[in-house]
Amino acid sequence: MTPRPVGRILWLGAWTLFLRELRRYSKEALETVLAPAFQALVYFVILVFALGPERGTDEGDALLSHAMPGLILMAVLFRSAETTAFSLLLDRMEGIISDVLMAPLGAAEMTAAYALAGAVSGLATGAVVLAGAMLVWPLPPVHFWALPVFAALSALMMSLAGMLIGLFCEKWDHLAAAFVFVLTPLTFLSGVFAPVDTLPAAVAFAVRFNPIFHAIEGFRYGFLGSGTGGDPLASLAVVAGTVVVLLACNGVLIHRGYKLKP
Amino acid sequence: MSTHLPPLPRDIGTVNWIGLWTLYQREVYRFLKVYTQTIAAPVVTTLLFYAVFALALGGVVRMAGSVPFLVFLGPGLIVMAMAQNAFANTSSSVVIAKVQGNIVDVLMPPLYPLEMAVAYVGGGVTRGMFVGVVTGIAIWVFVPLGIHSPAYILFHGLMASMMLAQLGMIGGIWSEKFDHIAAFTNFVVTPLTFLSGTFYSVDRLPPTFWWLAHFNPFFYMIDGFRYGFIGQSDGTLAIGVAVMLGINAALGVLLLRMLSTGYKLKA
Repeated sequence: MTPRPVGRILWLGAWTLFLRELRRYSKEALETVLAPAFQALVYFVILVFALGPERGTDEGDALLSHAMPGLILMAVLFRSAETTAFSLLLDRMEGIISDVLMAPLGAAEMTAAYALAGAVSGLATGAVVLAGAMLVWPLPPVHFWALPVFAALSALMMSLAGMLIGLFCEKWDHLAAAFVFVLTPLTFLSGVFAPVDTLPAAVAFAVRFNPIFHAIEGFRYGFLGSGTGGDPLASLAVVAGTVVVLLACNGVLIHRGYKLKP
Repeated sequence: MSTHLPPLPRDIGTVNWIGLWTLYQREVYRFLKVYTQTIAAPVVTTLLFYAVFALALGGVVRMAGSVPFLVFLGPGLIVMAMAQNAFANTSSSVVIAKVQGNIVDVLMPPLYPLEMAVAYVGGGVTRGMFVGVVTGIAIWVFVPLGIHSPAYILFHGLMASMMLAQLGMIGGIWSEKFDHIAAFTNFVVTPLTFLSGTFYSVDRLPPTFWWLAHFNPFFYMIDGFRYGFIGQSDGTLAIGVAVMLGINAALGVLLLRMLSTGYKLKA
């Protein structure tokens, strides 16, 4: 019996893994799509209510317009990371990761399937949040090109970061800690709600080394234009560079079977 | 010939103190064992909210009534963390036990519904108070909060934890899988704790919402707790006390009814 030829790239295998990951996401749409959209709405309503007499003034409107892109992208970022991190950790803990390891999939195919599924799920959730946002607070984008570019790259960046979390963690406690103590602060302090200039100078400076800040900054540039003062191309370079680095890390770890193979 | 009598049932008295205390202790050890998730995580999350919303709203609303916005925001966030964690403690305990089947370990022992309820809710209240004290100290490090009336802080802290612990137990009993309780948390409890005046004085609300807020127990819980710190309230304090006592009594009756009929607990 000759081995079945699979070609240089096992397209069917990678596609199947990708689809399985997406189905895991869509199966829980209440938790993975509706809940983040609702959460974004709650944050937005807090801001609207808290404005009080400032509601409807230019200053108040500026605050809401600033927050809206941040809230949309935040939903994308968290969903992308959660999809891959949960998936990999669950598979490893339950031992069903062997189903993926046994298939004739190389590290590149495996990495690509997980990462793309994570990114697509983040973008799908983001699209729903965006649609809802446009109903609540219509905001015409100034530089449309930046929206899909930054959304897609940030989603990929976070799904790759989520994969690293899923690979490193040993149990749910670790995963929860990674999200609560690392990803959430990095995101919340990246100017989701308020311009980073309002932060203390030292923190505002440190934030510029945070790729999540550049993801949000670039996405916001798409909506509001360069009024925020950042350089979108520099932000693009930072996010793209982070994607490359994370991709390499994941590829190497999966190739070596780090915490995957005995 | 000696007479062999059947063993007498063990006399446990009117109240099964050992059983009650043991179940309560289990509920407390449950969260203490994973303190990074149950105490440290809420503290960090609360501080983040504090920083983010203080920055976002501080520029526009520097004062809330006669107090600085930062001082206004602190107590609201503390009681929000207490409420969410009290809810998480009882709801997760009941749902996990139901899904895994080890709820029988609690149903089999000679515990009355009241004893079960007190033990579970007591565990939730303990976690709420724990989180409240630790969060309060963490916030106090950044913005010293004055204390106007310790009685109001204690009363509303206890009532808030108890209300959410009871709600968590009721939600846990009602849930058949994790998705149900997650939906209840995401779509009911979280929005109510976020939108009931944690971040703003209800006087800032549009008229309809302002009117609605006065029918929301979560509003009175936050308002009364905050009054204990800043000595300034949006609602009537006496109504707040009455609402908290009333809602806790009503939830208690519902919970005891569920436990004594075995609703979704016993076959």
